[in-house]
Amino acid sequence: MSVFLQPIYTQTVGSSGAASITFNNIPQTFTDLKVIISGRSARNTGSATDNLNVAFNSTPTVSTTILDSGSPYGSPRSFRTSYVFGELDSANDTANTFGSLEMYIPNYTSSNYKSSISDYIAENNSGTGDYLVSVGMRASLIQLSSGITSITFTTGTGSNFLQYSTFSLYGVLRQGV
Amino acid sequence: MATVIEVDCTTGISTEREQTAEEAAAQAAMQAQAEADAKVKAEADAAQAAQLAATNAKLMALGLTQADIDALLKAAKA
Repeated sequence: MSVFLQPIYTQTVGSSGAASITFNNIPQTFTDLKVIISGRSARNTGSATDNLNVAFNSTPTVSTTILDSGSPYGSPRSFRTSYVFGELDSANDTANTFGSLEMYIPNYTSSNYKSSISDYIAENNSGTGDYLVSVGMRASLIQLSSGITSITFTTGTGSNFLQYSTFSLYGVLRQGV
Repeated sequence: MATVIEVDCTTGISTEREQTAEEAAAQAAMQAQAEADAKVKAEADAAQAAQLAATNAKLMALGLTQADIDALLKAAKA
């Protein structure tokens, strides 16, 4: 059981925006990792939200999404390989709103493939968007046979993360460590 | 060229620099994959919706009301 959450680093994007955020040299002394993001993409065309892509250890490690929200009456299903761990607000959404996303990676130092869970919500108060609120939960398999030492975040459209987007990385220790 | 932010979690030092051409290419590849994934998902959702609509129509043709069908679906998911 995880009982201790230690902040590792919090990065807030400055006025020039950022194409990517990378946490390098992640300590291998914790049990699990937790990421909390408050983010907004500069995307201003197309869909209301923007995807959050995640790469581990500097390479776009393929992650198989094994559970995703379906349409009404739909069933969760395995349907793809993906780097997409969720969605964030874009510049198409209500001004000054930021999407919220949490990601949890147990046993991130393992040499076996690692599971991950992420949940997110992106808000759009305008009735003209393709949807008002995007919410979802995804379980993924990170196909990496070494410990995670680096995590890189980019948007699905290549747009910048906008100012005040915040990325926080936490280490989690199990009881007795 | 876009800005990238790198954090060294060991030293706690955050660095901003310009994105390299190689990084931009890798990011573009990820975007292309993500777009392909999104297309597959959209097609799967559309196919599932079409199948459900067709099934719904068949059930209504048998004399069931929409309320009957909804009740059956609710019971099946319970």
